[in-house]
Amino acid sequence: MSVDSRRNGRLALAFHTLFVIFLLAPLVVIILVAFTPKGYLSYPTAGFSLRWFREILERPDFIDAFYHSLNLGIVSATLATLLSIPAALALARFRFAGREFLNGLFLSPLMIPHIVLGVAFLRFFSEIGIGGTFASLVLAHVIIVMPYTLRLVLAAVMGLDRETERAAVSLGANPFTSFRRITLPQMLPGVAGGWMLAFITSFDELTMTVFVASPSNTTLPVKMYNYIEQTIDPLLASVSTVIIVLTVAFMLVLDRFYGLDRVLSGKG
Amino acid sequence: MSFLTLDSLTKRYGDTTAVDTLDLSIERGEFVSLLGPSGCGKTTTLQMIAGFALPSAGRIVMDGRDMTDLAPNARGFGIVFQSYALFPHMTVTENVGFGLEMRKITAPERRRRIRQALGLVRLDHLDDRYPRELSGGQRQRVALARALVIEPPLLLLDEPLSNLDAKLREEMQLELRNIQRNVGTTTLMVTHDQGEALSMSDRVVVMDQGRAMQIAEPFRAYEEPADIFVSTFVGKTNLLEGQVAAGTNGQPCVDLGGQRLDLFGAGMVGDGPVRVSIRPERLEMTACRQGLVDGRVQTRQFAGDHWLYQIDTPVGLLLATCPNCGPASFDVGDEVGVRWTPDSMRLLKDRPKTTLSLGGMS
Amino acid sequence: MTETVMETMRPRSPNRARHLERWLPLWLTGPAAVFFLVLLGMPLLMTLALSFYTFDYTAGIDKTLTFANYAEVLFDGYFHEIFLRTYAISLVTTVLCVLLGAPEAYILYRMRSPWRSIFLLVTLGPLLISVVVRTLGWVLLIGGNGLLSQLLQGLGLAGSRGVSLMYTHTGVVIAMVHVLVPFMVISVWASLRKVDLSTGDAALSLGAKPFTVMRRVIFPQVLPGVLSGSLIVFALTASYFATPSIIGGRRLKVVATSVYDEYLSTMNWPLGASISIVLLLLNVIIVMSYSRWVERRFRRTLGEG
Repeated sequence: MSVDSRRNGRLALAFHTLFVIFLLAPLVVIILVAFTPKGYLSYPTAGFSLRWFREILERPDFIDAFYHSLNLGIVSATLATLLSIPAALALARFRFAGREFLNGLFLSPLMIPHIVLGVAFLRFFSEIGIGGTFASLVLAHVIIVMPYTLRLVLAAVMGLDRETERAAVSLGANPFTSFRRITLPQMLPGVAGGWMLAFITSFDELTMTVFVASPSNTTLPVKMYNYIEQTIDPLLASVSTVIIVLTVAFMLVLDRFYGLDRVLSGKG
Repeated sequence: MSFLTLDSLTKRYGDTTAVDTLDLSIERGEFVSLLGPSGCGKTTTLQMIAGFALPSAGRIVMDGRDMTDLAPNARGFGIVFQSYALFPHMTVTENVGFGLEMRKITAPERRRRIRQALGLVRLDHLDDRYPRELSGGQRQRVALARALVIEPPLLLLDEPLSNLDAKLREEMQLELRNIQRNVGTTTLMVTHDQGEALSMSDRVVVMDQGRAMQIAEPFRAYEEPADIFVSTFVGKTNLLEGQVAAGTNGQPCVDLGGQRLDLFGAGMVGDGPVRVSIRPERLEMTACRQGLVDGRVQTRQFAGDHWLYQIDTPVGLLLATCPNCGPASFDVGDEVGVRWTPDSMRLLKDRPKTTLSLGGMS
Repeated sequence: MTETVMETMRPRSPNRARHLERWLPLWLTGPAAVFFLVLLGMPLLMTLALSFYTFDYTAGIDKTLTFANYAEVLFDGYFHEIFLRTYAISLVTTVLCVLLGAPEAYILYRMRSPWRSIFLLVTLGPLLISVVVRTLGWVLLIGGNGLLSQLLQGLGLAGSRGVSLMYTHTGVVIAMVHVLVPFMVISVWASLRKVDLSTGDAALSLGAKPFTVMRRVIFPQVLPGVLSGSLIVFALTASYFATPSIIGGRRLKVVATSVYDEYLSTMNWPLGASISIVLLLLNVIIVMSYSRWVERRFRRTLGEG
């Protein structure tokens, strides 16, 4: 028996190692394949090549899709955050008729399968005549990312020391000043964490977007999915590698800033 | 004319009355404590004075001006909150300067007054820190500086020292009182700690169930408690059940389980059953049969500066303290006598419905 | 609580206070509420209506109401197989996620810094990486000339044609576990954070062996995390699209991929709509009844369950 009751034994560390290998293997394989000099899927046994990264630059369709995803993520995360802040304040601080209903309504997209949302939006947007437009993508994405922003903003409001607001008021601040100078800055980490989680959720979304995207307004995941349906070549690996690198950078910022486990407790 | 007057102040929440027709007058420069157990209404009273709770009835008048309906941000009182409520996203300087900023005071003047306030609480060297980088005692001082820098006519302290550990709390009691004396700000403090209230205040308001049970100087509240609640809540006491009767020499006396003791200046409460309160330090332990009652030492505790004895006697279990002047004179199991002077007895009427056990302590 | 909000907001007259208390929350939630009621309510209602419309391969969608679509989804053996396959995959995936994710969360929790935060990042990070990318990784690993096949060939365990797990249940389940196991870790992690580890020391001091401590003291305390993690994993797997679609393909249809095919290949929207509605209802029923069961089971010991 180990001396320290709170340390992991050898068996535990072996399990942990296999678990980490399992988690990282597919990502490592993608990165390896991306550097192949050959024209087909293979490991770069004969030396590394940037050939498939240069190939990305020859594919404006992928680059367009990337920018669409980026814009979509930024716009929908921002809109969802703007809707969440007042809603979270009301839900956290008032007891009013319909409060439970609204809370359930705003979180319901977590319970509705994205495939169902996809077909529902497909029908709705084509009936009202905005099918396939960027605006329709934004509207759909605000719905699916708002539960994340709301949860994190709500947690921030609830975790706030109400006495600081009273202190501000006692020092002569009016309610508006107190909100702007005391409440909002203290909510900011939660708001920013929510925004980032919403952004990445929107950026990655495939299942619903596959129904509402159009050839002229397609996102990177949809573009990749459609590409995989046709063929799988090292171009996918190099595009994926770029996504992995960007996501890891984003993740480190998010973790540094807010704590990844805290953010992700709000996911799912 | 008093500086702050609470006139029949009342707060009801539904069927419960948190504060019940409280009357209180505070002089300019005075330090007054609201003392009581949790739920006694002391915090609600403070909230109403601060403007965070609306009184159901009654008035709050300061310097001849009715403040009852004034907005909390227009009252200009300095408040030190129990949690300190420092703004976590602002430095010490920004925290202290917030109230001055709200008063649109120019930057140079603001800097001068912040420096002065931080000097007062001896924190000049920590002006760039954020609250989470400070110790509990330092946060407390920042909270105090933030409340005092606006030069409030009234300083409200809500359990200001309850989050500090025992040793620091004693130091801060002294320091807080010194600062208050130097600045001269009229101060109202809420606390559940009777030691704190006694040592810091000019007067204490002992509250229970929304009512002020006694308003007096600390020494008077301790020596002449108005009722059983005050006698047990403020300090420790022995409460004996007795009967007032006429003595042999015509003097009134009290009958404690067969023991008849003369009353001199113990306060008359008329005939009938009474409770007699005697402070533990007023009991003197002697050899057997040399005191007023005999008993056996049941427990002995050492408390540094004094010894604490529990003595089983015919009149009940008595709590006695003796100053530590060398090794203890008595041991557990010893037969001892206990005596006290008649003027150390306080006769108290029971409040109806309140039941207190013999020798009950707070 | 509401009262203090109101009072700091300065409505001195009781009437104004009541007025503000009534209308302010509605103004604050109003924009989001309208947005959700229109953009979530309308599409779902329209899909519900669509699921009752008649479809003909030559004439297209006809607004004549019919139960034919639901009859087909509920009584056709073809759909029975798809639903059964979907929920079987979900069940196996969930069990594997518990077996892998719960111990891993505990191991992570007992790590020291900086390893703890590093491996927490490694474990949870993949959640942020696109599902398409992660699934693609598995295609490269388990496909016909993937690393797994080459490894087995090298060991002489596979013939010259290699081994492919593409279009197999095993392949789909492996990739699904990979995609969803971080949810289990995060869920167990969240309940571990509330556990007082000194309860384990207390059990040790009372003579329990380390394994007994784990089984009798720690595990029961993180059970709520395991159960809520299971619900998340099960519900997500049951409606997952990307991974089953890429690895399972047309040969291993699940509910989500069959909806996709009805909508975008066959163009039989009413049938696709009724499959979606059935999927949605099953999901809601499972989530609700499971949550209710968990809540009843744990309300007394572990509070929020």
